[in-house]
Amino acid sequence: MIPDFNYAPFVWSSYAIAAAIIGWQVVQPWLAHRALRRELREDHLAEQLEQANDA
Amino acid sequence: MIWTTLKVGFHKLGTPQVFYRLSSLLPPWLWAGFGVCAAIGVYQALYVVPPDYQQGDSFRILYVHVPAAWQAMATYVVMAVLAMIALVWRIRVAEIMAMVSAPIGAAMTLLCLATGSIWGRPMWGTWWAWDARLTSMLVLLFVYLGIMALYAAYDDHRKGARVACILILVGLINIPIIHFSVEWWTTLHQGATIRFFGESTMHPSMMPPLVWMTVAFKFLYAAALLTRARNELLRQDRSRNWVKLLMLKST
Repeated sequence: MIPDFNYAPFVWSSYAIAAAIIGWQVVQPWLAHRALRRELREDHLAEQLEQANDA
Repeated sequence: MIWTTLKVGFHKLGTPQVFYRLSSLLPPWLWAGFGVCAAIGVYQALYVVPPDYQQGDSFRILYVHVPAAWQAMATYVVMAVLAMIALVWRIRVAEIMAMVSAPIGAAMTLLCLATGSIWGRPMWGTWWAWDARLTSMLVLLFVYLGIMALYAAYDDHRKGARVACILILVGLINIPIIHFSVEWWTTLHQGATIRFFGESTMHPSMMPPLVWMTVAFKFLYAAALLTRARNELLRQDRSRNWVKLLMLKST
């Protein structure tokens, strides 16, 4: 299944680095978006609680 | 009439709410496009194309190296167009898109340099040479990092973006230098083997994975750009009413 290449360490390490860098491009914005939305929701709830306490 | 419609559409796209909706709708499709094209490209690159008669299997590295190099330069050109729009029309969404392009471009440049270096070790006998193409590509990485640092250095996002946009336009000079470096100077890096106008010296049987991977990288850039821009827009507008309404709907 895994092809038997000459220069295999060079080929596979290149593809591994590509997978890591591309994977980071996929995962990082998604994680950042989730964290940001959670933060904004918490801010919003805190604001609502504050308004309710004032009332 | 068409011009007016285009102009109105262009400015409408610059409104945060419209852009947010667009940047929420498009990325799943763009990520899917990237996944399909990359899967086909990697499969063909590793299993279908025959080894090169001189380089053996090491030439398979080019299927990530070349699309990454093209994307690193294309990202910079798109970023320069966005910077120009941001400076001339003061459209904040264009500013944001220019700023979030920099980390993607830096990642593509890093990938190009790393894979080029790994390919160079068995083929040239060295990991690195201060050759015009390699050096100008390294300069591109530093320009990307400089743009990111400059933008992050300002507390006022808009001021930081404007200064960084000027740096983007100044740094544009490096793109033709990278492209023509192999013609202007004697370099260890080979000249262009793939030509859009004229005959390519690469065998046609080796082309399909390169095309798939190049398209995959375009999808990757578009998807990452919109996803990052959406995050930055939310971060900047966190105290605005439209974001509060959005959070209200989601809770």
